[in-house]
Amino acid sequence: MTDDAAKAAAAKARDGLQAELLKAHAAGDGALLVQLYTRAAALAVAAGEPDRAGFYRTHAWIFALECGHPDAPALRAALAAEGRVD
Amino acid sequence: MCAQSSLSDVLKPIADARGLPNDHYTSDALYHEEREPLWFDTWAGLCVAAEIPEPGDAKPFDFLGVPVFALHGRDGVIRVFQNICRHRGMILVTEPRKIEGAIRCPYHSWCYSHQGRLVATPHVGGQGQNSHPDIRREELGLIEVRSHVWRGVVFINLSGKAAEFTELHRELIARWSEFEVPVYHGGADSMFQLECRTNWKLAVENYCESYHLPWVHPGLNSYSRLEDHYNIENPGKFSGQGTAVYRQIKDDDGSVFPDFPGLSDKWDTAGEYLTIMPNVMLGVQRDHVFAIILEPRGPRTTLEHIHLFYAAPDTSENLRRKNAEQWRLVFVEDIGVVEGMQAARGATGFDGGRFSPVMDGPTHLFHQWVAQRLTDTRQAAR
Repeated sequence: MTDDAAKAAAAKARDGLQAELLKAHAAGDGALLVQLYTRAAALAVAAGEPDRAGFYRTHAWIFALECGHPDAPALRAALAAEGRVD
Repeated sequence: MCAQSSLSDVLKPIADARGLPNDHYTSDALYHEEREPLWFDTWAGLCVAAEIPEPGDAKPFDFLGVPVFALHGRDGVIRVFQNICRHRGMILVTEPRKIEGAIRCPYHSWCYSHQGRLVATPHVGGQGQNSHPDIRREELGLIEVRSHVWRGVVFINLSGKAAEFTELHRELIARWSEFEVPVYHGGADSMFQLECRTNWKLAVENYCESYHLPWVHPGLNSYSRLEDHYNIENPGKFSGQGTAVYRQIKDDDGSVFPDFPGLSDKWDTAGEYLTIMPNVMLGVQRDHVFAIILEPRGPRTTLEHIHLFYAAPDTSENLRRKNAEQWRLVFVEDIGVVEGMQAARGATGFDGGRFSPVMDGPTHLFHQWVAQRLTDTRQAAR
């Protein structure tokens, strides 16, 4: 895959994720938001964008806290390991 | 200061006393002045525990202009918090709902535990940076309001200045010690609300005495005659009335509600009806008890929240409905009286009225409680 093709594929993935996030927000589906923001963080990591990844992981953590999701402690631990929460 | 405020007349012995002046029922300024001494500095009823029956259940309330919410925590403890985020002061809970995990502020998503601890401050140190040395989470938990659950009613002491609930109401708890057993809210068919165009104090006054019964509730007299009632007076804490001829309600097949266990013979035919000042009107009888929580909505409007409780969790639905309807009819009959007294508080010639030294003792005690607490607060402010 060429660089251009890879960028186009990544952009498509982000657009698809954006649409899913909007739906999940509209539905108030906390567990799905955790899953989607976690995926967004992974994409950002793959794209070499750690700050963007931290932003998404923060959102995954907050929605995990809100809905009592079992991933909340692990998400917090990941943020703490990156120096993003005390 | 209101020109009609002559509280010294209220504080006289009953034979010479007059009631509270008109403006204590109509004035926005006095309504506001009452908040601290009559409501915030003592234990007032907020709701019943049955309104938040399961862990995670939360419900917001407007407590005389102060937004609060009650939460049935995952640890099983019912707590009350001021309904405000410590960040930018956003309301946290806007409608009754289930809170499975953290209480998340809808504005910037600060999150609080069910114990009120601040657990997350997203982006507070910049994007993806969720801590900042100047935002000390340990100092920024929710503002918890002192609360105490008694007989299924959630009481709060907003200012934190009152004595412990069990100390303040030691005499009442002792008086009704035989009823210190589990009570079971009857559920949706055993709660109803009545909106009254009246000041909350008139609802209390009407509940304090029994000799309006033959005039206002003629139907009650078939089983509750005037001479079978007695006054109950405890200055500064509670007042009301009792009856010696309570009769159980019966279902179409003659069945009755189960009794509370272990009651003495007195309660075979006794019933007692008291107001815990300021706003919780309670009734106890052998087979069911009730609580009326008064919610003032300004000086001229009061919402009465009525809740019926039983000795067992699985009582007859038909009988519960019949019982709720019976009480609804009684309380609706009272609306005409309390609204009539409210309307009459516009009469410029009214001087607060008089009290029957024989029959109006509990009502006078309530007036005295109001007048004394207002007087003490005014004197302390000088």
